[in-house]
Amino acid sequence: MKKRFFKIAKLTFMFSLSLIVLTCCSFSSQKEKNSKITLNFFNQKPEITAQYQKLARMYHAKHPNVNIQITTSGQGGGAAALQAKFASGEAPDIIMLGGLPEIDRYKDHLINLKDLKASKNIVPNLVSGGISNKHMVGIPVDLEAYGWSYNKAVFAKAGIDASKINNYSEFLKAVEKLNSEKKKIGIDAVFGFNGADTSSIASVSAQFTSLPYNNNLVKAFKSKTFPWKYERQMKNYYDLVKKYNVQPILSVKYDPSVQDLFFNGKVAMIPQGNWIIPTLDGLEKGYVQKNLGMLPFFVKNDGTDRLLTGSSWYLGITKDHPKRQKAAKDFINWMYTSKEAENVIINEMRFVPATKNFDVSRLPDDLSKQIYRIGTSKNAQSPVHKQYPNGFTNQALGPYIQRYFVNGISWKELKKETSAKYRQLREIQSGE
Amino acid sequence: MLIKKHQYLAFVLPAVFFILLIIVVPFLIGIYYSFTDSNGLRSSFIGWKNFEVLFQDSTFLQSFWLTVKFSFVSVILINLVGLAFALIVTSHNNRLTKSLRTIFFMPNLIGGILLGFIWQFIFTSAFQAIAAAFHLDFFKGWLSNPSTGFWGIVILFVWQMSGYIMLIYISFLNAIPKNTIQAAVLDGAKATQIFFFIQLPQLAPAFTISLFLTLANSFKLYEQNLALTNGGPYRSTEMISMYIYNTAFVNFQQGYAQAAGIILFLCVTIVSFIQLALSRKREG
Amino acid sequence: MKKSTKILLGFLFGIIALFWFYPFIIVIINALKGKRGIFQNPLWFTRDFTFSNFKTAYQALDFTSSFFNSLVITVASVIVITLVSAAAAYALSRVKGPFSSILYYLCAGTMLIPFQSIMIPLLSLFGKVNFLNRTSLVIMNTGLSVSLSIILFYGAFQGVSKTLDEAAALDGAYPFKTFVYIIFPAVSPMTGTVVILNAMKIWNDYLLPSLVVNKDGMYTIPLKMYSFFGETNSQWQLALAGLVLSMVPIIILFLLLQKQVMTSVTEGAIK
Repeated sequence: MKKRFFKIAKLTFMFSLSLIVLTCCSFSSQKEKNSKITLNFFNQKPEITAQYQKLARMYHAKHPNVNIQITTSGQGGGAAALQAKFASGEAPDIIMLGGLPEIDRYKDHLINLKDLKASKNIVPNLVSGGISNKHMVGIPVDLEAYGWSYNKAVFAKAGIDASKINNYSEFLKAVEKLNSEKKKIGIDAVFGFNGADTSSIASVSAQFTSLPYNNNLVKAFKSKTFPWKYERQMKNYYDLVKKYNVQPILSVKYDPSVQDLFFNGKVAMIPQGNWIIPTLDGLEKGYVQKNLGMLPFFVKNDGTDRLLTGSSWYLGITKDHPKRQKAAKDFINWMYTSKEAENVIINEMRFVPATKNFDVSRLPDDLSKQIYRIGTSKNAQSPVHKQYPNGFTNQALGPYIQRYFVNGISWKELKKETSAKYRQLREIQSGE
Repeated sequence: MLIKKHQYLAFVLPAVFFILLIIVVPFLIGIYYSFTDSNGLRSSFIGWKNFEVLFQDSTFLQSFWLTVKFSFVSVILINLVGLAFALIVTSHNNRLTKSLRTIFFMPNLIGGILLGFIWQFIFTSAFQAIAAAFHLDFFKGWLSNPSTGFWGIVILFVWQMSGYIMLIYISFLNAIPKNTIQAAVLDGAKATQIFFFIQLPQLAPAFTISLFLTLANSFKLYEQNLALTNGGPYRSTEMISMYIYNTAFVNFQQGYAQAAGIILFLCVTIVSFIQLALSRKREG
Repeated sequence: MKKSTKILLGFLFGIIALFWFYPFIIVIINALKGKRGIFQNPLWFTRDFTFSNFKTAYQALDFTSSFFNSLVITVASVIVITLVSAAAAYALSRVKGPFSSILYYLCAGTMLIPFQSIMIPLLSLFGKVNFLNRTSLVIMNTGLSVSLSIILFYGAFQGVSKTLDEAAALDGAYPFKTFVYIIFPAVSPMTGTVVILNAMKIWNDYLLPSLVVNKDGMYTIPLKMYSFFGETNSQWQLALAGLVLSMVPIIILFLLLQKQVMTSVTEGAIK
């Protein structure tokens, strides 16, 4: 018995030893060859991984010695995954970063992109979202619009002309009309707000927190206080959603909200922007051109309210692997300036480009064209929710608003708790 | 002396090295961290501020209170169910009770993440189906409501731990001499009398052990929490471990999170000393 | 007891057991369905019986590689833990002195520290010197498990008479030889306990690997399961098939080693 045990123990030991040796060998053999370069691209937008891969293949076909390896991490896990990559010394060459708090964490790793051909053309409003220590370390991925996405067919059935909605009271009237004719037009509720997702709660909150910063995203990032200037409007909108949303509101999630409630005309409006375009057209070709429109939030309520336009994501290049920097720059230049890359970006990713002097007529649908015009106009307004402190959206703002939705907290308490948490997180993260 | 000094060191040093490197050093650094405002990259000393803020942080207090409540409820339920199972399994000695033992223990083999997903499916899909089939609102939306969400984690944890605690009770029940019980049966004692007057007193040490084990495990619960509710809705089912994790690795408030970690350590230590004192008292 | 009550009782117990086992059944049933079937009736079989979920889940979970990672990490950790703690416990049980008792109390004391109280500094310590992934996971597992294992082994070595050591010494064996060939084999039941307890813990662990492992190819089963679950987007049939795949190996192993596992778990708790 004892002998047998020992025999087994010895065997296991030898077995595992050989395993360990084997794995060590297999890793050391994967050394990079000098002539070929592999760029690591860290992507945080899972919905367009396939298109990025296509771009990578196209680039590889033109530059056979450059391979682009795309790593995607999304669904809230991106920040942690990125942190881990840096911690393990496997910093990616090109990284997609969301907002200045994330850029700030990695600022010591990022190079100045000011002289890049791609940066020359960036829409001026979006530049400040990629600035750290007065250096331009990130360039915007695309131009996104924030507001209400509405279903044109549903509006038409209710006899509502969206172009006639120009202030809050007209918006309110439309909502009430939609609600009273719910049965007739076949909707479950007016709104399909996905209350389960804190990220959507945050992007809506930007409608009420962005104006005071007037496109200065660095200022928003530095701010120690949560801006309550448009508190009244904020409360009005949340109360409206609370009243006219699909219930239970906290069970509504992003995917069903877009792909079922909105797509199938079960709700009239959802608080999403043009990032839902590829999904909708993926479900039915031509759906967007036919059915999708966007309405702004009426906050100033003086006739100048527009959709907010900005970029949630910025691309940066790291200095961790100096040998690969030039290749990374070339690839980004190619993505932002070549026609072939642009074609994939606007027709397959369905992005609105964040570059100046772009020929609008190349965009495949009217909404995208409209967004480009707003985003490049003088009155364009960038949202600031990506400048909230790390964790504020998931750990404070989101949960507090969710509580408010189910009457678990009063507006006054919400205000107090949110302000306190905002200040606390900002102070700790800025190291002051 | 059979073992010389240098030989002694060769035997113990590897273990000492591992304990120091993985537990003691981080623990000491951790105590220092809890007095800083570290965000993982930069840090400076701020004295007791983290602790002062913690005791005013409603989210922390809520998750702490939730953990206490959870531990209390699950300790009671797990021990009741575990003891009941032990009595069932030891009541006869046949094939049925043997397979029962296996079945009761089985959930304990599965890791917390997998358990969480299993029960997430049950609470969402299966419960939904029951609610629809029998028109019972009781089974609706268990994980989207703070109180049923809480009970969801309790049920999961009872399912996981009862079989484990059962084994402890079994070993103590088996240690009771068979002839004591037989003698009682001959004297005409009823089953309930045997249980309360003969078995229960013998089980006292088993109680202390099981109590401590369940308590320690429920204070440290994380994976089940993560996979079942992930703290939702609105952080209402977020227990202390998850609070520490999120604060440290999502908000990057590492000094602050470490302060919460130190409080967790103090709680576990106090509970352990109470347990130690109790079992000493009984022995002495 | 009357025969009828006995049958009734057996029946009752059977019902309880079925109820207890039902979560496993429900998982297996729904892993064998399409999306529609789960929606129609998740409680029992529906018409759309299929095995295809397993194939999809197997590929998506990268099961071969995740299983291999889990196996390598568990086996390597358990071996290191067993050797290191047995050696230390042997020395502690044979040499009484201040250093031994300090070490014993160090083990008992460190068992009190919850992992959550040290994970932040531990991670930043290893992160700073850039030492993460598999090897460091093995080292951390060892550090976290050595204390309990030493205490378990210590009890067992106490029960081995010192005359054995003395006899070996008279034959001219060095302590190391005595330990490896005589004393360590004498406590093989306890070795089994230590191996099983640690293997179960490490195989199922999620929190530590989630903090330490950050390379795509190095995910263990629980890690991969968690990220796979996020990707399946409420496609329960795939998630459940993944769950079944992940549970099957450990349940089979348990059924083979049932008795040993149960005694080990009990011993680990009571000692």
